[in-house]
Amino acid sequence: VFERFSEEARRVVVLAQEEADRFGHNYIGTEHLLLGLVAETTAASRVLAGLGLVRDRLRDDVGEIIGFGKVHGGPLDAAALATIGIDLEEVERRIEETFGPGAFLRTRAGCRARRRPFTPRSKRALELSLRAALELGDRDIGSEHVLLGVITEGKGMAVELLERQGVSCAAVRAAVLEQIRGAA
Amino acid sequence: MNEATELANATSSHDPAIGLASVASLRILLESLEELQVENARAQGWTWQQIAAALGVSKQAVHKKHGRRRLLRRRQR
Repeated sequence: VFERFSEEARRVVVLAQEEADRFGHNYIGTEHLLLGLVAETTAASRVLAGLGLVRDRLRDDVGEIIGFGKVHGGPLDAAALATIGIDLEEVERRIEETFGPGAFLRTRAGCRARRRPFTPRSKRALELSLRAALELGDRDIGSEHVLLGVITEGKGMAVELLERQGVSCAAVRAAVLEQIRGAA
Repeated sequence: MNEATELANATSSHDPAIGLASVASLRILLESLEELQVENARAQGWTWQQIAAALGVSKQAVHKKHGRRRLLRRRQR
């Protein structure tokens, strides 16, 4: 699926993984995709901000509805490493400094440890983002197509989070299509 | 210090679950670092012999572990 993802859309997926990490969740659901879409300024984040979506409320709601995973656990356990005086964040930062961005994830051990599977819904949402781009005649999948994918999937946690802030799927779809037409 | 480290400092290090988790995590870091360092050494023209000596293992061991993988990666390019 990822071959046709634009730089921005790839970044969204990376940010979604980071959001999952932040909550201690060991999967990537549509809620993390949505958070990844608004974590930095993207075409999708502009659309959602225009509809009045507040990012920090989104995070609060995820914390409230799903909660935080246990800090212990996962194959690479930052808390456990801290008990022997190792700061995992610092180690990873230095690895990237020496061997370039993404170096740790490039290795077999790093990749295995950090893998967060997509839920069936978020996987479906990503597939639907490809379809959305095809239907609109766009070559690459941008953040706006990922957003369309998420709302087209229609039943994930992301949709519930949007509705909590009074943002309907129909409104998102209309705003995204308007933005795409405006840009063309 | 982030939240994880703060929490860890507040937790007893006598708990085997945490102690063992730290060993498992350390092993992941070790494996990852070894792969990156061996790759880097080879890129800089080090022989398997030199790498093995620096790692304190036999040449056969380091070649067996890292030799084939490197070939596979090169083929993928």
